[in-house]
Amino acid sequence: MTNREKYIKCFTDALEVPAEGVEKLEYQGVESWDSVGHMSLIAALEDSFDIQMDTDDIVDLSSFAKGIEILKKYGVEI
Amino acid sequence: MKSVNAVWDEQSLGVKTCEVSIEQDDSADEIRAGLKELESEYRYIALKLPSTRPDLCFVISSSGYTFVEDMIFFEHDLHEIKRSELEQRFYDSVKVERMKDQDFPALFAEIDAGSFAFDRISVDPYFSKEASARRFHHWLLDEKKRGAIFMKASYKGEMSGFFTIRDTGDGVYNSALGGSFMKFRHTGIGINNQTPEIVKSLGGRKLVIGVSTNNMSQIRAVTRNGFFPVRANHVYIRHTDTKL
Repeated sequence: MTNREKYIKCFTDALEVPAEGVEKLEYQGVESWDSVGHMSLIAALEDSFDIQMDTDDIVDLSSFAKGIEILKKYGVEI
Repeated sequence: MKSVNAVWDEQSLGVKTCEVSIEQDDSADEIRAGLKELESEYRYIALKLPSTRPDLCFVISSSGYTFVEDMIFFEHDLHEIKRSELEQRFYDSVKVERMKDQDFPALFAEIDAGSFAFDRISVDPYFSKEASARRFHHWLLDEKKRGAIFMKASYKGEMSGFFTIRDTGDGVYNSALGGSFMKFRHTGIGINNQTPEIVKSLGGRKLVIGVSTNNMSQIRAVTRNGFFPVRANHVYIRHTDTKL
């Protein structure tokens, strides 16, 4: 599985959304992306890429695209 | 059936308001007759029907009342909340302390901006977001007068949310209102619920909160923190001078 496939799977599993259109996902765009959904998403990302994110990055991760930018800081290229 | 002249809401909403609570042993005929009497006196009636009497939903609806929300009451027995390592990291990053007088303008500004617009007033086309905000202002000031403790949560020095707690007797605390500020929604900060720990530190034995089903995010957050549902009311409203 590529990093991109793993990244998409984190979103689809944690937020229970279809893979189609996931690239455009922002936190306002889907009801399941509330605080509980956000924690599930972060847990999935940390597990999948074996990283531990700073709280500032967790707070800033507000979209699919923003997440790609943030993961670069942890040496993860999507 | 009990009814109360809700003078506190009249101040905010500008109409004579009544709150009705249906009781477990009320009959359909008693309710119809009681409501008819109140409808001649009040312009706005909010009615709470225990979820244990679903048979009465039909009576209430056929009397011209509109369903607006379910209010679910949750309790916490103050057991230790088990958090994942990630949740604990987040929990530790938020500071919780008593609100000072100078913190209240930030809270009221957040309310005015629509932060808590899940209530039956906000969703009612007969009222307005402004009326809802006024009602929250009055409600919070009233809670303060009644001795509620106001706590604020801060992330990196910035106020990120708040909650109130008030001892209603025998170690049972009620949290009338609380939540994360809009800027911090969807960030994960809202998953932190320090209320049980604070109540425990004050010597309380139980915490009670009511959450509207219009606010599913909050329901998800409280259940994640070990609250459990104990009862629910179906809430209906009627504007007696309109067809709404």
